Amino acid sequence: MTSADQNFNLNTRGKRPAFFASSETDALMTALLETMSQLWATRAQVNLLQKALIGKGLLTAEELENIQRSDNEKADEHQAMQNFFADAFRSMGVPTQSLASRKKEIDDLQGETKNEADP
Amino acid sequence: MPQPLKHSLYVKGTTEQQSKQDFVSGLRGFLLNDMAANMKECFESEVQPQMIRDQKKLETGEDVHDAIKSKNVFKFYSSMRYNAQEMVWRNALRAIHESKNELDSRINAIKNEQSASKLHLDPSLAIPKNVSSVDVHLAPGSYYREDGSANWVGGALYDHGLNIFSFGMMGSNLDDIGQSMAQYIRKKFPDFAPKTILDLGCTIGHNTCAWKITYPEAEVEGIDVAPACLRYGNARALDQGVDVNFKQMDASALSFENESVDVVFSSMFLHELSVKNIKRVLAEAYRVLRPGGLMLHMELPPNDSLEPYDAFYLDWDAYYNNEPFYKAFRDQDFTQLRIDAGFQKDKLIDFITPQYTYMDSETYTKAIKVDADIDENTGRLAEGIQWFGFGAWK
Repeated sequence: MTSADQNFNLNTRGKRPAFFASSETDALMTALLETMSQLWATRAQVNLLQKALIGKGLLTAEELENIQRSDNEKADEHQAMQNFFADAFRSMGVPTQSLASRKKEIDDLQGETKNEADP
Repeated sequence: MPQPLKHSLYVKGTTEQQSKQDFVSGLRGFLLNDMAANMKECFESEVQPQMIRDQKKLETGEDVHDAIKSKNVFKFYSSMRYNAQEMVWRNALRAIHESKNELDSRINAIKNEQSASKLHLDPSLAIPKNVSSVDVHLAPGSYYREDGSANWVGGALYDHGLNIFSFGMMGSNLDDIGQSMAQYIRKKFPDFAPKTILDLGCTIGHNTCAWKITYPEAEVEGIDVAPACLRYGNARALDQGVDVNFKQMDASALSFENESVDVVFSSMFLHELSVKNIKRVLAEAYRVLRPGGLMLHMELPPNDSLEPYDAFYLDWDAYYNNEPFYKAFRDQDFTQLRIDAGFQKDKLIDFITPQYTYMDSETYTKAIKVDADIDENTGRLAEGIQWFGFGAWK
């Protein structure tokens, strides 16, 4: 909690649900999403600064705060965000492989190779 | 993406706060469209066939929930939705908190003699347990949050949070539900001319104002138990030049006279009440309605009208979004609820409407000429959403 947050409550009452087998994973998800949010905000700010540098040179803070994006730029940003999600969440919800399954797959491949090499 | 709200109480926030709000809004859009589609695909391709092979019961949303909860796609979808919901409120709260003094000045500037006559608080009315016992929708402090002298924070939080939450799906003034419901009635029943309209559980009056805009001659009243929402809603309506009365009142014990109201409306309200309380609210609606009047509730569709998967999908909020009465309400027989309240079976009304504020009036009029059925898009905040209304004429 930052000093600015100390006098007001940001937290929901009650216990959080557990979705994963370990509470560590649930906590990591929160950290991941907050990090992504901060990354997104930083990326957006860099874009704003780039626009300012390219278009007008050095700006005041007030001028920087008032920069507006066009509808096309907003649409591009939205698409970039969807691509970001697709990258970050690509491993979620897809089938995973156990070590035993992987070993069996290696053994199977080994067997096929042997057969080919040793008729 | 959230759009700037159309009133002077809108807190823009810094560019960083705006970007974080854009992120959460975009994340919710991704989850409720793309990731939700992945979860359904997992159900259809893996979970359902396995349940059939194992001869497991597949009749209700609970059956689906029990079977799918071990799947990774459910875990990630749920974890991200829960965290995104928290982020909605945290981002809105930070922006509101940092602009608290300025917002307080704006609200006070709107207050005048007219605002006092349009706002009636009842300090003797305690916050009911269904509102006070949990932070509904995971919102810290819920609808009635007051931060010291800022006794309107619950309203500001609801307004700004809903704007982020809805990722542009509830209209540019967050009033698409109210506009769609009121316009449906006006266009379907052009001879109906209500003089008094009552909105139950109105929160900040965003949908209450829609009724005044649709029926400008009517006296429109919005009631709620949370004074923070009513104070903010009063200022919001005045700022937008909409003449609505706000009263602190419990919908299960209305202070209106018998047969004194022409429309009793609510939106997304009944599912926040216990079944016992819902029955009281419907009985009160019947009592205060004039003969020929209309009771109308915009709600999520009942579970008996949905496939088990779709019931599970909507019931998610009961378990993970602090809406404890959500499922029990939707498990009810909506026809019987209305009959038990006193309404006649041949006077019941059920309909689906597209989003009025996203199309021109002519297109909307054509669209509602064809009766639509409840489907997977009904009440589900995603592309193609339609609103469900049910009620009865007295």
